[in-house]
Amino acid sequence: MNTEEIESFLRRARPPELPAGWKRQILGSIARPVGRPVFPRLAWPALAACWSLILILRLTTPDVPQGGAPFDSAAFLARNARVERLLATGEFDPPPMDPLRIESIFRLPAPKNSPTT
Amino acid sequence: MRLVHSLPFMDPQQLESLYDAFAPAVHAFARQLTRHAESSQDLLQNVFLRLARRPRFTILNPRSFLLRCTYRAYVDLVRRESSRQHTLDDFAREPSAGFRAEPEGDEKITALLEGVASLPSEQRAVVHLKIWEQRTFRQIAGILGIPANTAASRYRYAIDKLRDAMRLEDET
Repeated sequence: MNTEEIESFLRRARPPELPAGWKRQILGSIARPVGRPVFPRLAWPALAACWSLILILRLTTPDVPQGGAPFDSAAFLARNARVERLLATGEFDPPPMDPLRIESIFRLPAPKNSPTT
Repeated sequence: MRLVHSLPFMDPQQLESLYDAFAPAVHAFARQLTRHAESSQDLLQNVFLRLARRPRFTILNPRSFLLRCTYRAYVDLVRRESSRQHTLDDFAREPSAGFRAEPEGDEKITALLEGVASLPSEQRAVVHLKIWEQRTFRQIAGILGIPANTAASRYRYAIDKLRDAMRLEDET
């Protein structure tokens, strides 16, 4: 038997019939909610948009020290500009800071010979 | 060439029309691969579920797409069964994968069908696509994800085996 005869004989065979009941079973199982994807179509784009917004806000918002003075206030900026100017001209000579002020800032224990003790 | 624009979850009526058009071909291929009615139903369901879940995607040739899905689902099934220490050959296999001789009882065709069913699944897939789907080796290669030369050589080996089987049949 040559190749053409084999092919010819095989082509005469009838493929298996598709059982009629399968259609309802298969399409029914696909249509059930359990077969559907958990995330609807717009969930992933919405998630990506939220993360993008968070990233943009994070990058464009200046870092402001929490609980501090209003460092962007006009008074602060003016003082800062004056200090910068003094530093540039070499005239910056800050007055000695009051020890009580240092103590209050760093919360150091008060020295034994301090006038407060 | 038909164009199918599937929705994120395909419209049931569209899915039904695709089922009506292509399920017989998918079922025949699945049955040829598994030689098992229940497994072929699983593959058929798997394939149409994949189709229903396609996101916005243009399928140029639904028949080829579904046949490719069928083969992939079959490979997945074999891997799954292998990991469970069972192979598909452990199942009660149908001797002719559900194919029937026409005219009924033709001994040569029956013997050939049994010969096809006894081939390795890789060769069986190529023979099915070549004989019953009338595909070229290039198309078969695309469906099975193999080079065209490999598809052609698998077909040649399969035909050689069938010829030997028929020779033995004639001698006995």
